[in-house]
Amino acid sequence: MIESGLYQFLAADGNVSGMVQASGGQARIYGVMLPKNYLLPAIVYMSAASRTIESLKGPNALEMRRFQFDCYGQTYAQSRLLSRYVRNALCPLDNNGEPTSLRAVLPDGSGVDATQILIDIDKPYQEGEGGYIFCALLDVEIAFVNAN
Amino acid sequence: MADNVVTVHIAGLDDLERKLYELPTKFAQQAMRRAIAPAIKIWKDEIHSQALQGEYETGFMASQVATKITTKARDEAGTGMVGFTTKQNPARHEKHVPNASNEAFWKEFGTVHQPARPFIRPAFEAKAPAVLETFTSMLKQILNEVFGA
Repeated sequence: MIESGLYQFLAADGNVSGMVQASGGQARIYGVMLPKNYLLPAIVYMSAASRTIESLKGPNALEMRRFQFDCYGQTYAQSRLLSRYVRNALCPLDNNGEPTSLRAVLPDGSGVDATQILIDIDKPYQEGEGGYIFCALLDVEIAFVNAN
Repeated sequence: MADNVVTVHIAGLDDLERKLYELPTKFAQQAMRRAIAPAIKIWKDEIHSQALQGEYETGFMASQVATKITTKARDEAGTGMVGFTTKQNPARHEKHVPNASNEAFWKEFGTVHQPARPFIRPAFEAKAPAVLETFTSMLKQILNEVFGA
């Protein structure tokens, strides 16, 4: 399932895990929304929209789905840096430092064919744990074949 | 309307573009408007119906979906936008009442206290082919009226 694949993929990324790794070894990467008594920085990810691809036999195994990654931080700079790391993990840089589309098999076995950043914005700051918190939002379209 | 905008650039319609160039400016702009209006209405209607989904919806936010069409003075380009107005719900009397655009943003992208319930992006993805089809067929129809089929 790509959701668990994305979790493991981001948690295994050195830069991302350097920011969101909790002491127990679990990464602070959550589905849909932050848990109660959360700690920052943290990532919340969810599926925002999808496009089905029909083949002659029926629905194609290749799926196109838009994932939203909310990168929360205690400061604006922290949220932006985390967003940058997620962006670099999903659109890795080549030898010339140019971002590319990800083509990889995720730890769960899902095969990612392409990634594209569609939206990269800041959400308005909000009241949260320990005062105001900041969030940078990434909307990434991922073309993939889900692991069964 | 809100500043967060997703842009769709339609290219590859060279024949239609060439015909638009041959038209007088005012007529070309009018043709673009006539082609864009029914196309983006598809998105508007879909967003409206999706905005009505939800446990606590009063219908105010959904009623504030708006469209805006702009064309350039001497250009073959036109822009259609679908978004929300910045009108506040008159039925609410708190000190700080969020406007429809704010409410739509929070619903679409979520907040730290409220999970996102996307309704604009699914509407956009679901209706994009229909919007493109409507736009091109309308523009062809209008230009055929002028130049003949």
